[in-house]
Amino acid sequence: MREIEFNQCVDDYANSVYRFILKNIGQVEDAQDIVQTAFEKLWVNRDKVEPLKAKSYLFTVAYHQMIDHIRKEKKLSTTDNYKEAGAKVIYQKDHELKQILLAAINELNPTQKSLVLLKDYEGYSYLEIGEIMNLSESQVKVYLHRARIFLKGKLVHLEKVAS
Amino acid sequence: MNINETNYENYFFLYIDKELSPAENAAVENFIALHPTYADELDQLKKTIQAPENILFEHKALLYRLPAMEASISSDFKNTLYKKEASLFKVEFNNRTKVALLSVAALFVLLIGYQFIGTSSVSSINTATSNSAQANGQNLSRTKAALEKKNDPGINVLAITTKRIKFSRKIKEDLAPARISMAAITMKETADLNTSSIPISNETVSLTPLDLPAYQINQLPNEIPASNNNKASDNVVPTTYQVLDTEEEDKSIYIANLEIDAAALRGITRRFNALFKKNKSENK
Repeated sequence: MREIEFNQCVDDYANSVYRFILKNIGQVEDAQDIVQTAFEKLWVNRDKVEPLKAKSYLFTVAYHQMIDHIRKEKKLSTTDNYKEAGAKVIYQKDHELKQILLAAINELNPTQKSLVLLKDYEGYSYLEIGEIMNLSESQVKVYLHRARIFLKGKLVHLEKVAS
Repeated sequence: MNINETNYENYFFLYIDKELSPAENAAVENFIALHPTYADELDQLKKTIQAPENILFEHKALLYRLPAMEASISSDFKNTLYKKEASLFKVEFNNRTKVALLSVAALFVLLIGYQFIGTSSVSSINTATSNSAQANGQNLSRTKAALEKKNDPGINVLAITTKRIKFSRKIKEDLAPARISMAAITMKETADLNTSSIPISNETVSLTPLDLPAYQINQLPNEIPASNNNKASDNVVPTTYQVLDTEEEDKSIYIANLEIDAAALRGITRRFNALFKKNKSENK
């Protein structure tokens, strides 16, 4: 991979990687650091990474960086904050589907959240998600379906409460 | 592919995740058409799909890699940056020169060492001065007696070699206030001397460095034992002693009571000078 191809990767994937990380951890500066680290690793390994697989490589690196970050910073506790924030949204009877869904997604565990985001935002296949998250295709399928059921149940419940 | 009421949910998940082939998608849509009661369930699942947000990464400029710039400096400018280490002056000696230098250095160290020993023994000299004077007096008397035994008035010449005793300045300062009555006088008995071959002077023995009192041999100090004096006075023939002053500096050198043969030293210096002359000629 040459400089021009690398810079093209920056143009094409920086936003999506950043969005994926930001949606997962909810902290702008940490998300920016993780994105920068991911592109730095891509540059270091540019001779080994094919340009067509650069996006997958970037998401893989960013995802593992994020997991490390969550473990170090114990960001799992922030999920509780999101839960509280989501609850506020619920109690304020905000019927906007997007916010309700966001609150529901924040209640998912990190793996399920990443699965949903990679599937919905980036449109990755089960196989590609499995490669990024180091999971088998069947695992991705099962975990993602469980997450869908959880979200569906939340949505149905909130709609009933709202009505 | 057979979608029924028992497995429709699995197909619905795959449908919303876009994991089905076009034929399978059509089969799912056909199932919904045949069973409208499941349409709401499929709509609920579709609502779980997050719509992508337009979130931008604002620091892309930090991620771009610019082509490597060619940093080149002109050779003229480089030459101004070079630093030259100052060369050391190197002297090379051949083996003979090295031996000569080593011998001179060793000699110098020896002289310094003896000088140090002589200085440290000043106090012992002070205490031993009276004893040495007594001993010298005894030497004089013994020499006088030996000459008298020969009963040859023609050869009654006692050559007294007065040797200059050079003390270090410190020793001089230490000894001067005390006005030592006697210094160490070494006498040599030269019985075979005849008056014609040796320059004779009638001067008294002079101990120049320390302004010591002069003595004539026939006025020996009181320290001479009485027995010897009596024996000499019994002899009627007057005994004359002539002092032979051989105080020539090139014969012996005294440094801190140490006698060094000047001839040997002169030989070393001659060789040393010859070596340097040779080296000079070789260099030329």
